Amino acid sequence: MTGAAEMALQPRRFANCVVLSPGGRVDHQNAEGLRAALAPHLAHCATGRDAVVLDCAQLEYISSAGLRILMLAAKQVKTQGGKMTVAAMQPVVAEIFEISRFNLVFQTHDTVRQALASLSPEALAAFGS
Amino acid sequence: MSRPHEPRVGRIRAFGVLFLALLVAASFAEDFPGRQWLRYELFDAYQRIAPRERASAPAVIVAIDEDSLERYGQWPWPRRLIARLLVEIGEARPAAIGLDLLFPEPDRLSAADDELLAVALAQRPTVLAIAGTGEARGVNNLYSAAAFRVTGADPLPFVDRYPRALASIAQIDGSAASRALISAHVDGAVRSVPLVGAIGDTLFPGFGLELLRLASGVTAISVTVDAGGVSKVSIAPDVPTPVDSNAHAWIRFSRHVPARFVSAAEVLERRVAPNVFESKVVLIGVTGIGVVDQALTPHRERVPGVEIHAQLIENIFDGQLLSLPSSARALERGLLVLGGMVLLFVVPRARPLPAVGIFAALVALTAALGVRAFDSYHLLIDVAAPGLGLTLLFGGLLAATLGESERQRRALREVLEHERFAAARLAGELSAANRIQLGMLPDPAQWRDARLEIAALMEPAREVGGDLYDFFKLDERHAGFVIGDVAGKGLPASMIMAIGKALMRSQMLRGGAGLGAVLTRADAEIALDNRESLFITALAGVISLDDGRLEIASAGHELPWLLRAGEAPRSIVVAGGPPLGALEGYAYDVETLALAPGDTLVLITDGVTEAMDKQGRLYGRQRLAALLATIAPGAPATLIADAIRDDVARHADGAEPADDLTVMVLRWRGN
Repeated sequence: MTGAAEMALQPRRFANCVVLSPGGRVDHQNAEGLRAALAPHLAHCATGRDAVVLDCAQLEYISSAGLRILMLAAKQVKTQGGKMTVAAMQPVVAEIFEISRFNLVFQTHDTVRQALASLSPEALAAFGS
Repeated sequence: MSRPHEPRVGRIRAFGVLFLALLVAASFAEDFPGRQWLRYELFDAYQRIAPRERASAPAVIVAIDEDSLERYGQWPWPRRLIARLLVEIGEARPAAIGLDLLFPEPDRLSAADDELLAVALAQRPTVLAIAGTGEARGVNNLYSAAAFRVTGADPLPFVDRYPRALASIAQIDGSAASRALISAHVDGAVRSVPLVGAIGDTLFPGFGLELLRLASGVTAISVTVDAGGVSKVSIAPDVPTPVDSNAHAWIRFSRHVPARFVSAAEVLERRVAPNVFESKVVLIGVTGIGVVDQALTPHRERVPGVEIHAQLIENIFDGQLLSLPSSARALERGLLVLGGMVLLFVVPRARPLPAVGIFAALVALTAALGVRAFDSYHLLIDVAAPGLGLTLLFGGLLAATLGESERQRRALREVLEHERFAAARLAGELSAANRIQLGMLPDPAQWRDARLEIAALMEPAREVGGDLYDFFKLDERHAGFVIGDVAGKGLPASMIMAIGKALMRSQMLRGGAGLGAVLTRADAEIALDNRESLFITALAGVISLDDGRLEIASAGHELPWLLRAGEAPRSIVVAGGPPLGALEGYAYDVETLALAPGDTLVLITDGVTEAMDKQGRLYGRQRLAALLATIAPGAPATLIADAIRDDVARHADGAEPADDLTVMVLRWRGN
């Protein structure tokens, strides 16, 4: 099976927010790796618990297979009553989000700071310190 | 060898054991065709490989040779000349004189000659020849000078027996001290001579044995007979004379030795040293051309018959006679079984060439054993029989082994065939799925409205993909089109693609609420039963064929490209929403554009932009834009579609495509 290549997300916690930073390219070869890496963080992303920020500063490209994983994540978080935002996309990724209208699926922010600010003051405080 | 081979080895061995048992059973049968011939050929081979060396010279032949016949006239000689010869020989005091000659008629010239010979014979220890015959002119009233002391059964049924004998006339015959049979056993070659035979019911000694008896002064020859035949013939306990059951002695032949011979002419002229005959057995025979009785030895030499008797005497004297031990058969069978077991162990496991080597070594060993037994122990062991048996067994085993591996190869080939068949069937299923996928797509060649030029192609990736395109008339003035891509592969993606395409077309044909509502409805339907969480990116549009008005909406799909005369190719931003099935209940916006006559829309799926080369580099939008820029305005739509496909293939440079590739080109020609 393709798509199972591992992916490191380098999670950083700011108060009740977890910032995940996928890097490089996400396509059909490593989309499942992204899914697996996201899974434990998504499990805690629910009402009254963690919020997730996807920091896309290192993400160079995402294919439709990768978008599908993000869509699955969005659906799961929505069901759990959690919040998940996308931040700091490079122009290419931003274009992909625009074309595929995934900017309608996720809230997007120009920076991680803005994303955290939209989620919780505590997180913003923790990020700022 | 590995264990998986054991069952077949077992099968071959079982066959081999059966075969060997059959061969052992066959070895009891004496008379199968060629057996005797094979035995004799083998025995002759022993003789040739290890010929006897003439050690002592107990017998001397006085040869009435070519020289003698030249000097003293043609045979038969006057009997006074024979008498003179006997006198000359007798001067040297030989132990015995044997005349390998017959005088069946009175002398042609003078009765006095017969008398002279009779006197000469009577005065010396002489043995006259008699020959067994079935002819009526033979006699059957002879008596044997040698006494026989028989122990056990009657030897008559076992020994060579003739009804009558050719003998010399009574006057001569009666003068000699003894008479003996000169008949030898001839089967192609002379191999054995009888030590005892019979004329009628009377036992007679063989010529050589009788001469030795006479020379040694023994009166009786003892003969022992048991149920199997004659077991022993002897003139003295210390002179071993092994015989076969027919009382034949098997001679170990030397090659022809001229030193055995003395010319009768030299004897008559006293040119021979006296001690040549002293205490020897002297044989007189005719060797001259034209009269000679000749015999073929196992050495394939033609020698005068008299030399055979000389050889026998030498054999007895030197203890060189060969024996066929009664245990020989058991020994031969033992060799067969032993060698057979070696072959049974080795052949089914070995490759053919080493197996042949081991077989050859086994046969060589058996042959060496036979030669050694012959040379050192004067034993005639028939190793040809076990050798032949081993050869047959080896052939059988080899055939069985090769047959078995051929059978295995065939079985393996069948498995491969089966796998190939299964693979072909799977490919068939896949290609069937591909055919369904492709078959669901409309054929641009069937489009019959000149106002709109349509080209479309899809290149499915190896796995079943989920690209789709569609175009159709909504009514006389409107054409609808859809291009889509299911995120994901395999049959579920195919199913969603089929559902999505059917949904879109039916929704669009129903019309009424507009393109946005069509997408919203499709989005909801796809989200409804979508456990795989697949989604479809799609681009749907309606072209007004009369005036070029274009309604277009995107559900998260690759942007379309617009080729317009005098302008650079550009991707047009299209209103819309997220992919179908991604967000439920989304209200899709619709974009409206006005096409000029000749305007060309190029719709693609990400199989184009995300096509990768072997280094993982994407085809990308820039390259697409560059390609489109090279296309002349008004170039046929199909040419544009093909150009894109070919350029992508050039980029991939043999890399396996990961996704379906779909291109649809629409050109409004104006009304």
